[in-house]
Amino acid sequence: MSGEIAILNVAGGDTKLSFNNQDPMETLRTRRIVNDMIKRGYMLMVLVSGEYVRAHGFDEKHDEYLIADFDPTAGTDDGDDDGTEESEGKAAPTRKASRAKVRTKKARKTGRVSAKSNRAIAVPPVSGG
Amino acid sequence: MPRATAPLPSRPSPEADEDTERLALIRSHDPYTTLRNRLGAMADAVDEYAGIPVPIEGEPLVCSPAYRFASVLGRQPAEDDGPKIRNSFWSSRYRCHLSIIDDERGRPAVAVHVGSAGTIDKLMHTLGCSDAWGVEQEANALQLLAGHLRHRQFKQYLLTGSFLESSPRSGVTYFFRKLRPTIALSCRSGPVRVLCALCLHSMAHYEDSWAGAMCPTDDVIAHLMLMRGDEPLFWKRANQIPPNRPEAGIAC
Repeated sequence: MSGEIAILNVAGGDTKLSFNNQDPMETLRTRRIVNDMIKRGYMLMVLVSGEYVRAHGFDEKHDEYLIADFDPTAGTDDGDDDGTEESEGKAAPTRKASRAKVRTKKARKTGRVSAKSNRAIAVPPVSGG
Repeated sequence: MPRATAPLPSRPSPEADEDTERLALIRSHDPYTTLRNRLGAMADAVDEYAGIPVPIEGEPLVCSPAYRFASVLGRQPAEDDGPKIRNSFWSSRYRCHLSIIDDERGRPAVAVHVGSAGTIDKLMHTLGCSDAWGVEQEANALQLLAGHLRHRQFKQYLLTGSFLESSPRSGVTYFFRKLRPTIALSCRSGPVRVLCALCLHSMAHYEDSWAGAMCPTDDVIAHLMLMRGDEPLFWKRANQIPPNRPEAGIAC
């Protein structure tokens, strides 16, 4: 199965690219275009297991989309490092340390999905109407 | 012993010939076909993957700031933009936009009715801008949309130009419409409440109309994909229009 990308386009309604194992030139061209689109602000929505996720990067080497993979358990056992020098609970955390803790809790991991086996739609840069 | 014969050269099927003829016939009725195809070829040559919007006389284009040719194709500011506007606001009482301008003597605080953002004007402009789209492009977009909707949703879209979908994350129900802003509804408790209308176009749109640079179904696909893939970004990038304004396309 080759991963297909549909790009919303003025002239064609949507143009299609694919990661086609049978045609290395097509795959090479698709890789270049996907990278270029992400840099230019196109939004790639990838269909993964019935849900749509936005790809914020692309790994050319492995043909994988990089997606934000929010881990809801991140930060729940972070009592050891609260950003202060005395981290054994002896000193009350400072405001800076509290902010650092919040940033850690909201930290996102990057997930990867294969571009060769998932469909995607590329939406050009948008503006309010 | 029969002699081996060389295989006959392959010929295009009669069905393919008929399709080509039908396509040529459709294109012959659309005076913008040549321009659209030339712009498409130019866009391919410069790696502009979304294409180049079709300029239409009398319909200024408003481009996304991130679009590469925004400075060339977008609306150009006029040298003399008329009287200086101090402030503009929507009047719920008169249901129109009001502006405070400087008069000829430079005195401020003159309120001027600038019209009701006339719905009929907007409708007529939208009809005029439909020259920018081709039947082929809309058909391709419909096929793409069909692959991303349930049967009932697609049937509703074909028959009424709209369909509903609820977000599992926020609980907001979205009323997607062709050539109108998407309406965000809250159905959690009590009667259905209209939150706002979300107006957003891919790449560019024509000023004073509901028409985008892309065919109508492509705009619907953009709304749907943003809602499904990155809902906060959808709200961030769209113009959030209160439901009582004519621009929301509800009270008309």
